[in-house]
Amino acid sequence: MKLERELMRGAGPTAVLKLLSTQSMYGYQLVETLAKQSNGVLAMGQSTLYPMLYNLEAKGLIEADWQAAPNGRDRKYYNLTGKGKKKLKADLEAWKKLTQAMTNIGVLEGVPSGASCGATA
Amino acid sequence: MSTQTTNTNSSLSRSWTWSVERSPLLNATRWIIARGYPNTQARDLISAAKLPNQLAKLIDTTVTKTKLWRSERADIARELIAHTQDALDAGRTQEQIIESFGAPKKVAKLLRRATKRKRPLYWRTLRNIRRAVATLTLLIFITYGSLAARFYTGKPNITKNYAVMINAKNDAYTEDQKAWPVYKKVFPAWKEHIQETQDRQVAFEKEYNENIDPEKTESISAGLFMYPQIPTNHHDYEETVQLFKDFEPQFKRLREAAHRPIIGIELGFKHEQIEGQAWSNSTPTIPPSDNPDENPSLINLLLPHLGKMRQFANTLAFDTLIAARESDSNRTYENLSAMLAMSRQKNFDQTLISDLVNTAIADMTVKLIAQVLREHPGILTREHLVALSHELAITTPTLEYSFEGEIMMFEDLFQRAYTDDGHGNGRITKHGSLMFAMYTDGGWSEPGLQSTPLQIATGPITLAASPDRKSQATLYNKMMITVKHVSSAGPQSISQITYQDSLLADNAKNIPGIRYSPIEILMPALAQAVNRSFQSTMTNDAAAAVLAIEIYKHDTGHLPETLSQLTPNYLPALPQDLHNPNQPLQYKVTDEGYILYSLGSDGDDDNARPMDDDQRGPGWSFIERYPAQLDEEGNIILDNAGNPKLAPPTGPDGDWILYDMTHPPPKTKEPDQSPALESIN
Repeated sequence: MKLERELMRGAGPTAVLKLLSTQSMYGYQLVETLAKQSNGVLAMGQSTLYPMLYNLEAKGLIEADWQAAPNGRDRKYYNLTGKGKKKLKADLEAWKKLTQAMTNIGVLEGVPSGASCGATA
Repeated sequence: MSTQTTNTNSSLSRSWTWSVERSPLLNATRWIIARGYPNTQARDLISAAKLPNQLAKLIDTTVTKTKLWRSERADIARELIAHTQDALDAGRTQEQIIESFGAPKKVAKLLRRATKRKRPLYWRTLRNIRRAVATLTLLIFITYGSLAARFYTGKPNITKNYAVMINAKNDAYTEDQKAWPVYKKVFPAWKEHIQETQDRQVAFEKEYNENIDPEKTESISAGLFMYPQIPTNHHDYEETVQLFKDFEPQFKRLREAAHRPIIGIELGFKHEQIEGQAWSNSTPTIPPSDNPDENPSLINLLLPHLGKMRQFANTLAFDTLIAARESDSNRTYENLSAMLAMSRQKNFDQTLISDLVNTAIADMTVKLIAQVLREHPGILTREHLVALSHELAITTPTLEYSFEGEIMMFEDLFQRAYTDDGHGNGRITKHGSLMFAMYTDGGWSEPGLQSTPLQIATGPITLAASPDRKSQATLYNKMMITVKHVSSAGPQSISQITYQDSLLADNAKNIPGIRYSPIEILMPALAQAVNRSFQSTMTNDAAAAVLAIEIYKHDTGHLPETLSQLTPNYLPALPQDLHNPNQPLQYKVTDEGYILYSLGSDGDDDNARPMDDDQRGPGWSFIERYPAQLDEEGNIILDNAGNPKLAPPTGPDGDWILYDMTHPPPKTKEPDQSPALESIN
């Protein structure tokens, strides 16, 4: 399953920022990791990934530099900037709220808070 | 040794870097060359990567379609190559990689958009400026285009032929009620026998006035005209008198025609042709028909009667003096009566210039009455004085200016210059724009108006800048309403027009004001015109008082001690001094006679001491007498009743001597002592 374009546009950058918060990564590595960790939901091709990376770079959220990989080839590694860390923090907060809201109204799996109270009672 | 080598290498390296890698000249050359081959660097990288052909071509196509800078293409190519190699290393097939890549055109577009966002601030700023300029240019082009379409397709709708409408008013009168047919017939004889003498008299008058001592002379001019006063001992005098006597049959016709109620001229735009020759500009005109092709601008209407009336009035004036010297009582009266009648003769063009001519004839006549009474006491009988008194009473009210002719001219020009939406509004047309430009430059002939290249280019801007027909008409009407209000309210409110005139004149000098240039072109000097009207009213009212005094003297054998003795038997009401609100004119009796005077524009009584300037200058001006108080922004301060608060008068010291009826006239220099006269003799 793949996300629709609009959903990917919202979720993709946050996912990329999150991955880069743990380590520097190059393009193919990001594609593979996203696809694997999201069970294919956030799988994206070059047409989505690189424009997204360039936009994040243009906004100053990530930065890139070419480094020699162990196999001897050059790869462009992306790192989170200070500004990117702040943005990620804010995005995660927003996602939490969104997830909670979607859960509360039953869009996401889980028990809405109101129903939970009733069941307890 | 080793250190030395390192230093040498380092020095060489730096030299190489500066001279080759960082050389501005070489870099500029490289940049220029590279602009012609933007894919070179990327293709070198793709080629060096030794990717399978399909993948290499895919990256090449994508990178080429980005249309980015050379370095940007190379960077993208490098990254896509790395990605593809990683995918191949991970065991992906070419087909899988191509499928996950997406359409090159779409990928290129997304990459291009995102990469541009990374470009430097100066570049993005320049791009935004370029976009703004392009948008603005497009906007201007579209606006200009639509304005041009509106401007060049706008057609006026000429619905009224004002000249025909003016002439049609004559139809309500019979032929024997019209003066013009007689004037027209008398004119050739006048031109043949009298004109030369009048020209000679005017020349004498001019020289006489130029050489005369202003302290001792009385001006004999009256408004626009002067009647000649060749002295009796002048060598031309006898000949002139004889010519006038020979002209007596024509004088009879003139006097009779002057008493007809209307002028009755058929006005037109072309001079009448007689035996294939064009008459001079003081000749009859050919009236236009209802044919729209014969409907030129009213502003070009010829008014040939004005010049003739002026000349006839001058001639009658001199004949009056001859008659008085010959003790011809009836002829003296008949001439004066005819001149007054001529001044109130109705003209249907109702233009300001026509009204000014009528006013000038009336002013000249009352001045002449006073001169005759002073120099030839008893020449006019009581019946004559009473008759003149009555005739003057019906003349004065006709001397108000209606400005109807100006309003017609305005409406006529606007029906030619603007489109007509059927509700009184419209926009300026190409012809209108050219027409106003021509009038601004002092031109008068509309046919054949051609646009200059500059006018063609700026024409649509004229449309944008020029207020619409309704706005122009509203402003014009507002100004005319002010004029009519002041005309009825009296001279104390004249600053409202002065202020209006000055606003218009000031506005004409700046760009927003130029937008109303049609009004500026069409609007006469209203304050001066209305000022003249008030002056004329006071001059005529004072003349009525002079006639009443003379009748009183005839009945009682002595002068009245005060003017109030004249009312109501000899004068219905005391003549008001418009320079002295709610007070009558001043009346001073001396051993030699009496003086009737106004306080003048300084507003105080100087006991009949005349101003140095006894012409119709500042000393007589109500504009000088009643200046308004202005606030800091230069606007008139109004009182609760809406009238201007007055500032102190600014006129010169002295009084306005309306009629000096002392005997002998103290201010007229004896002609035989005049140096000018000696030189003429």
